[in-house]
Amino acid sequence: MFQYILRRFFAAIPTIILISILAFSMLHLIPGDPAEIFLGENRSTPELLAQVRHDMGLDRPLHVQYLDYLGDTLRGDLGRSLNNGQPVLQEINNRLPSTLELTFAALLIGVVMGVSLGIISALKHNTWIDSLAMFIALLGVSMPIFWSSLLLIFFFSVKLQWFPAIGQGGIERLILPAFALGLISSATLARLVRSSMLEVLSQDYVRTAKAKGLQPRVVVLRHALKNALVPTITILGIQFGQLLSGAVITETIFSRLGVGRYYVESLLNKDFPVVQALTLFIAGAYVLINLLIDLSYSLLDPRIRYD
Amino acid sequence: MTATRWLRTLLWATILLTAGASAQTLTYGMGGNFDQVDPNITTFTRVARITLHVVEPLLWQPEAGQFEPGLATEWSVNDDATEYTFKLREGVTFHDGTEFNADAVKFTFDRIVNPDMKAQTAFSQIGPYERTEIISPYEVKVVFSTPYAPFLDSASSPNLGIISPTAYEATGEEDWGLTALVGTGPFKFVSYTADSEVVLERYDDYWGGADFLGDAGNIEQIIYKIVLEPSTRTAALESGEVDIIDEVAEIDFEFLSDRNGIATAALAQSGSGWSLMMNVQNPPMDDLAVRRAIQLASDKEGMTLAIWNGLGTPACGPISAVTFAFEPETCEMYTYDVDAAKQVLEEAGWIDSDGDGIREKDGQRLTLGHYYRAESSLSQQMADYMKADLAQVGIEVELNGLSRSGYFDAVRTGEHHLQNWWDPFTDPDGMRILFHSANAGGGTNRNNYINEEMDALIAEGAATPDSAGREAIYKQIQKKVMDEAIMVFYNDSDTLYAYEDSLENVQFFGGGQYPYFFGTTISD
Repeated sequence: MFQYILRRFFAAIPTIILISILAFSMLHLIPGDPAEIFLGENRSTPELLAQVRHDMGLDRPLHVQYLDYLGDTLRGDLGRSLNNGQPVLQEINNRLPSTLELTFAALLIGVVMGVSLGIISALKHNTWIDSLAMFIALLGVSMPIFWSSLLLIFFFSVKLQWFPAIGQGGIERLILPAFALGLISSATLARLVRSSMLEVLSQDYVRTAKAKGLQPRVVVLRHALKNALVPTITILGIQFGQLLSGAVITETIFSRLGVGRYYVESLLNKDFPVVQALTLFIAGAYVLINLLIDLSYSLLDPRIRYD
Repeated sequence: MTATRWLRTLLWATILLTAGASAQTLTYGMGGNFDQVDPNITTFTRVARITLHVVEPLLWQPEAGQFEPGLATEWSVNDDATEYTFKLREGVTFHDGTEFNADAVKFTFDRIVNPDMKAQTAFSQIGPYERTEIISPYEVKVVFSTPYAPFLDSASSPNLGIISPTAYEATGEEDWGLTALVGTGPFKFVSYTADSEVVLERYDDYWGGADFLGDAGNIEQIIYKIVLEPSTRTAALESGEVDIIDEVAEIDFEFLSDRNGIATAALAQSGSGWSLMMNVQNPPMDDLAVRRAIQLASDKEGMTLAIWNGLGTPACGPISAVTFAFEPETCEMYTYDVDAAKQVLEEAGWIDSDGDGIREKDGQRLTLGHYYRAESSLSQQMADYMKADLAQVGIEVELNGLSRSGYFDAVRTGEHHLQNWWDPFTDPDGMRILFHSANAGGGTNRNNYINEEMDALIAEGAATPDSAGREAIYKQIQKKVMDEAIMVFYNDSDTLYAYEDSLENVQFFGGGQYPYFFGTTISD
């Protein structure tokens, strides 16, 4: 097991380097000059443009820029934003906790709601409860996140005044955005859990479990759900990515600091250091999450081993 | 009186006393982002909106063209407007304890023109600045290389606010505007969290402020929170999380105005409203008839209703009615008239010969490329509206909504026929941004309009310190702009704010751009 983790860890290094090269070259290949964006609508003479490009280090050959960037990154120096001169590492540090908090809370809400809805509708297959649960799921996937966010603000901040609408810090500011974001995952998960549960419930071992007189609760949770969760866990990894991109909208609407918004804004400004750093960070997070998911399989299903 | 009654009276007295004098926090919901909290460098009006409280200008301008003493107590201009002498206020200290004096003024102005700083708004406001001469510790002479009559306006701009040289040197360029900003204003800079908030705190040793401002209010702390989504800003105001919001969504304005407990302000902008630049060097825009037809075919009233929900004023010319030297005659020059527009085109030889609804002339189809930033829904709406207006008279508009970089590439190289502009400058000299040849060819004059007579008029306006003389010149410029139909002016916008009506005495400067809270009181 430990060896496996070590092997996966080393296998991740070339992936990350490849991603850094890809991110770097794609950013430089697409048209548009960060110096021009920096100058914006204002005065722009060719000399001024040249000077800004020089200050940003964009007049060096591409491979030199890449190697410098790689070297700096390995030393832990992510540089400063081209746009506002803020140290990138510090900015990410400022925003990351808030995004992680939001993403995990949303994932938690998504899993709890999604799995419960899925189990209930599988158990009450083809009844009105099943239809209702699936209707809620349908609503969850089809409602655009900005709309559900605004509705939540309208009812719970403006009308009932239960929760604040803006900012971060404290559970009261987390509930609404996490709920808005978690709604989408819960809908996807509910449908998935329902169909895998239906499949598992018709398996022989479930019939056997029932036949030997186990309590229904034990049959459902220990025998059926555990097996039904394997495909769900796989989807969770993908959900994480969806949540990150959904976080961009949620962060904007609820006015939360976060890496999602920072990433999009920097991409629009072609703020190379920020985009590169965040791309690496997100790639790293994906690698880590996929590893965790792979490891969790063996916990759920002892037939899967990593020796 | 029994003991309980005594106690009750005492309790009430305490409550009343603390309520009357209670220090308050003002929370401000701001509608957008910015770079650094450095008014001398930034291009963002929002930054100046915040820093006016921290870093003060030499003068104040409560009404267009009317100047009041601030850090400068007296001033004089020489005859050709190349030298300005300012007497400075004594006994003023910066928030770091440094004394405010001539050195600080010279330091601030020299830094703005230092090419390494790449200053933006302040750089254009300081104009042909040459140097600052220190006459005595409390007297400076600011010298320009060419006449520059707009400088009093600039000297009252938050972007030319005076900073503490010692604090700047102690902080270092890299972190100035991120971790520190030190001026003489009624509030001290406390912190800036990018994309999130700026916190200011009352400066207890403040010198007292310009006389016309009156007394200080009861605000101890101001928190500017960035709330990008307009509906969330409105919701945050309604739920009481913020006390005031800017950039109120037009669609929310009316209903907020009707709400109990909420006050609104719609302040007419100075400078140039939402408009359409026409690249006169890119055929067929070089044809005056085409440009005049576009003026006539523009339904500004309809646009104002559809896009700005009826707020603001359909615009007349390059400067709004509240700007110094506004020429009302420009309002009569073009009125919306589809038939007249068609006739102008016919007479110029633009005929729809193949019956497809689009006119041609000498084999050239009357098709115009409209470039705008796709991320801005306002630009998109203006472009859509224009496309429909011009289709009525047989002009085809191709919409090119692009990313920031693609847009700048296209309009700087002059690929465009049409593009939008908005510029809330406070002095009519700001028209040089739009029409002076020095700004053509990749600069801000994306009309690419080059005209010697216009350059001469702009120079003359800048060289005439006497205000009646200036007024006449700028009126001439406005008529010339409209006569040659260089740009279409859609809407002189209202700057919209909404706030809790417990806020008393919010002052606004710069045509509504700068809400100022020095004298503001929050009642309980």
